Amino acid sequence: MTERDDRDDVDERVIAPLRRARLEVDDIHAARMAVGIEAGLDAPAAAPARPPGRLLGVASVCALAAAAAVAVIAMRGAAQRTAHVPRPVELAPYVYVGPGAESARLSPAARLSVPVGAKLRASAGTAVRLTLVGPGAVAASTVDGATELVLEGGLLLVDFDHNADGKLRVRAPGAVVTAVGTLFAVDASDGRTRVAVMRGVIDVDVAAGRRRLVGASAWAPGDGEAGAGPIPPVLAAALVEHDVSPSPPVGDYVVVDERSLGDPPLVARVASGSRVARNRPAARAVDQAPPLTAPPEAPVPVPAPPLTRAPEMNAPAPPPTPVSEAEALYVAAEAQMRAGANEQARATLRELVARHGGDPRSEAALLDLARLSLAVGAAADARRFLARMPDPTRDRALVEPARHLRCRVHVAAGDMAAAATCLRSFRGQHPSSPHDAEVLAQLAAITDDCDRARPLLDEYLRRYPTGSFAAQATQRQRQCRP
Amino acid sequence: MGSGAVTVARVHNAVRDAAAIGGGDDVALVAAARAGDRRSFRELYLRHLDAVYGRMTRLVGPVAERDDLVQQVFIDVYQALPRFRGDARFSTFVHRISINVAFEHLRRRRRSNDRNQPLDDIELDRLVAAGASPEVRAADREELARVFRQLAALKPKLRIAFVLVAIEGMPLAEAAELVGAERDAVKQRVLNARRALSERLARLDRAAARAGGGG
Repeated sequence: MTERDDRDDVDERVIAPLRRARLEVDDIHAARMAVGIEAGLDAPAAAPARPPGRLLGVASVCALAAAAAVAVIAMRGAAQRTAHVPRPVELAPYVYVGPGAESARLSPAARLSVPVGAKLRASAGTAVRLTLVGPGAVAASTVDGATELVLEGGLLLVDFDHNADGKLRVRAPGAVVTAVGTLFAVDASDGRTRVAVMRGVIDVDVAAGRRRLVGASAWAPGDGEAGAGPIPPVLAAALVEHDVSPSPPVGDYVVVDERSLGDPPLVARVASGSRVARNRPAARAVDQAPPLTAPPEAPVPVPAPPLTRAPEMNAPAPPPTPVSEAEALYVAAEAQMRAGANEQARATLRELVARHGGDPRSEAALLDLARLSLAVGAAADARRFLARMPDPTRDRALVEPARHLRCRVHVAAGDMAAAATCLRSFRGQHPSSPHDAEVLAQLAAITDDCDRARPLLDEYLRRYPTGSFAAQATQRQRQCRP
Repeated sequence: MGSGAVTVARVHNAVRDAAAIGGGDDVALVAAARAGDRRSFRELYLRHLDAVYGRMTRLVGPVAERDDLVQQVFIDVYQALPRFRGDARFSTFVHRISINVAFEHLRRRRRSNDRNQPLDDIELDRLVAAGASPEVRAADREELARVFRQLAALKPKLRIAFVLVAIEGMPLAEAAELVGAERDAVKQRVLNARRALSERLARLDRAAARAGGGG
């Protein structure tokens, strides 16, 4: 390669993407940093010049500094003016960990953020319970007695107890949602805001005015004067799942030291303001939300801590441990599969399952056996192998692929009713799955009823306009036009 | 070549413009801020925030500490106001502090052998085009993550010189003044950074080819 080629390579693969990156600061971000700066400037002069983060954690200083946030928002001409000084509110995230399905509250924070595919549940006071689906972040404060959630991105599912005192508002890009006691969702996952209410009433304030939505309906400010439509099935499933999920535990919270969770992490990061994240161990945790069918009081047992990475993260394998026979068998089976010796691989995997049924690797073996069976058209065999796996699997990395494979087996077996149920449930449980485009396409394709297919087709074309099913979806959409 | 130069100029001008909105008024605001007027300092913060934030993002990446560092810059600026005599533009003063803060951070990271800081997914997502399809956004996010991982491998001085000159299109003389080095030294750092990046990209390609061939 010549020097000129090298130059072009760096230009194209390093410089150009960085130049394309959007580097603007939004008002919320600017306001939050202003809080930190004001707090820094107000800190006692005796404090050391730096290490970083010397300044935060002092509640009184933060309260003073919050005024700066208001000033910043006002000066930048933010669409939603805050007339009164907001006070931070603690969001109390919680997870379900341990073989006994114990629940744990994590260190409370004023802001929660979750990466792609992650999900975190939290409560704000006694009246608000939320689920945040990443990538996204939400911060909380009170203004004039109302709890205010600032949704910076992601999908937020909220239930709000209208019998409790106070109001609840959610500020999202381009809209402010006021809840009047309800179960609702605000989706700001792709830069646009969409709202849906399943139960109760919400008011949505946008630049053009106020819009009232009653359950069960959905609307996007971008739709303008268009009427509210039905809640997309996936979102409805997510709302139901949120609704039936366990309530936050009571008692003392636990602080999870991020170092115990490995690097690179993570499924969820809890950071109280940008500075605090650096000043104390940030609590990081995986939300083990139960599947839709689980009763609220019975959170699903999951592996004990330390909490591991989400499958979506494609994180590297954990440090090597002494090789067990089960592991050796699995490694052998993997090598056989790579070499295309599937019959041998099947025999090895069967041996693993037979001899080490209690080993976590037996789940992976069953999944591989099901895959191999499906690949040769033996859907019934695949179903039998999958039936031997718990749902969710003990190994979290297998939960999503196993559920996806179950749906594929139904499709392959021609059991379309079961497939539709499975695919819908899958989308509710794994809204950020890498298989989502395929699943949504399958779901739309097997839904004969135009009324039910239309929202699926719309969603597919909105989310995956260049997807492989786009042409078919457009054609079907035309056929299904009312 | 033409369009590349235009892009370079646009990026550089954007950085400078953002820093110099109402540049003449900075003087009055600085004077008031030096006298303890917080409102004037807030105005200065708003004027220069976009530029500092953008540059800090390029310099350290969309990592968890980035916002902290931006805050640190403005705290340092405020504390250094008494030393600002107005010989240079206020924006230059601010950016010199930005670069010092970024350099210290990068050096600390390097010393602690922690070069591969995890990138913040949310911040990464903010950097990609809004309104694009989820697939495009995911691809852009992944591309940027790769870019920042490459930059993280550079020595702090090389990274800073590369960002200022190669990415932002800053003239060598101006970059040299900002980092407090000779023009030729900055030029050499940019070249070294390019070479290092090029070698890393080639290594990555070879590894990918091997993986592809093996799988």
